[in-house]
Amino acid sequence: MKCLIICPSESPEWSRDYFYDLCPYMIRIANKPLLEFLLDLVTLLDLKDIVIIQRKLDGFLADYFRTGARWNVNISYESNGDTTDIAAIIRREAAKNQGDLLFINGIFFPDYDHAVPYELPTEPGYYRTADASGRGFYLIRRGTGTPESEEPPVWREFHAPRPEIRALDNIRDIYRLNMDMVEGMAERYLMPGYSNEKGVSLGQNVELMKSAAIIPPVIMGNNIQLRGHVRIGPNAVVGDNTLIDTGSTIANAVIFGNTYIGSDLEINAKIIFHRQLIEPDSGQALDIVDDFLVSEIPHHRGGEIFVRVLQWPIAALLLLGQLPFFLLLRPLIDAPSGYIIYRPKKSAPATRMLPFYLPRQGQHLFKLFWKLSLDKFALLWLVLRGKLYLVGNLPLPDSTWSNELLEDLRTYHPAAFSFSEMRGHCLGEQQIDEIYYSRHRSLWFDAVIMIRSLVLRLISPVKPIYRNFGD
Amino acid sequence: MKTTVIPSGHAVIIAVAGRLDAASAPQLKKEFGELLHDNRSFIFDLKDMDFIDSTGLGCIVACLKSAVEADGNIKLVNLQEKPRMVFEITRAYKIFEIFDNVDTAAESYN
Repeated sequence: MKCLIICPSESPEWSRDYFYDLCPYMIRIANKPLLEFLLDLVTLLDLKDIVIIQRKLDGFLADYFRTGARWNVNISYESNGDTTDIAAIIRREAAKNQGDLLFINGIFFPDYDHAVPYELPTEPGYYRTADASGRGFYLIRRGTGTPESEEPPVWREFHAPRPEIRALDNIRDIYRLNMDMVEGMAERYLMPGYSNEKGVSLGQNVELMKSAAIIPPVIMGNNIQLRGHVRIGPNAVVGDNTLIDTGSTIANAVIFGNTYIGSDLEINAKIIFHRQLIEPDSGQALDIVDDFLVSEIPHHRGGEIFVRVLQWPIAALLLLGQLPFFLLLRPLIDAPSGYIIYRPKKSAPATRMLPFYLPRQGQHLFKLFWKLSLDKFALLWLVLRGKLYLVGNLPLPDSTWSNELLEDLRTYHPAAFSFSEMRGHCLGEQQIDEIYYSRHRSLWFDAVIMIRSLVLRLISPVKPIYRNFGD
Repeated sequence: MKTTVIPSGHAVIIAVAGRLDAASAPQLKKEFGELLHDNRSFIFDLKDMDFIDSTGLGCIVACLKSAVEADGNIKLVNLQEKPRMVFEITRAYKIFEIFDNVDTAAESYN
């Protein structure tokens, strides 16, 4: 038997209001995409061939579910043109496909228990369990005496036990469903994460500071960091790749993935999606403009490759521009004031050397050397050789404070230009800058840092970042 | 942002309208500082304040701090739904007395 999942032609309006262009089947319920609950049900019914039908293939679903191998099913994708009428789609697909067909139509949550052995009706005929708006399950059983000539078909109800349809019509329904899941309903489904305490489900790589507290029931995804004195729960769902900063409390709330929650906040009876704060009861949504309160943690993987490829020509151009000035000025000023041995990676010892220059009494040419960023010449050369990033973190030497700082950084990319240097802070003063940068790193942010660093050099007094090195 | 000052019995009502953010916060702080020379009890009517960011919130907190240091107080009224969410998540609602309308806030000064 083939299962055809008919995704709605377009996201419902309520979904677009909060989740923008996210395919509603990808909205996560207790950290699991909605469609995955349907796939679990389909495998529970022992069906292997699944066709996902969308009016326009948007790529969201195919990117995530691919061929279905992870669920031990075969998934293919079809576009259904402009047809939105479920009866027409069923007629068309029934004519196209020979065997028995199970249709799943619309945005709803399948209410079932993984431990219950559901069985589909075996007698030839048309069966359905659907709500008034047509969302639900439709089964065409063929065989001797197939009622294919019935027009319109006479639908009979599925027999019990059967999966039920739970409507998802607004943001409150999404919130309520998440709360029901965290309060125990999740036990009826196959869920990600593990549990070593009743009411606590944790994903992989969840880091908790000693003073952080988890108050059941909670569901937490993968790659979550809870800083000191954070309180999570009761009734909290926290999505993947989330960082909750010092002293914040999260209760009766749903925090979708890739989110940064700032320090000392109180998130109660709210949903947070990206930087949007949503009150489920009223439906009010507020875009938080302050990054240090709530912000989205961007995905870096694609950008990372782009940044690495892009930085090479930019570094080469800068080097070419600096070359004549460097050749002219470098012989007229003293040798570098010293060399800093920095860590090339977060977990590696400090082994690589960088020269740094400090102003000396009476050296007016040094001012020009500095303003033209010629002290970066050797660093840009290292960027070309792939030893350094163009924009990233300040290269950190081995020291107690830098070791502590590295523990707080999500990522560490030693670079020629850094956010803390742009801010004019010196070595040892820049913890906040580095933490801020590592949480908000993006291609755009990197471009701003580089351009501002170069311009600020031209108009500001000489302020070398390693000016206190060795103090 | 636009502010309107209405002297009323025991308290001065400052009606704040529009966006209270990094751009407009210094204006409110300056106007409040001038009013604080001659007054101690204030009511911030936020009925028409449709947006507040952390700087705006910081400005209201700074005004409260100056008022308290001068033995005065600020009470908030008519906090709208979206700004209220900012007060909630930052726990600022715990340090302010918030009333539903101007009359109740004014009575509380008596």
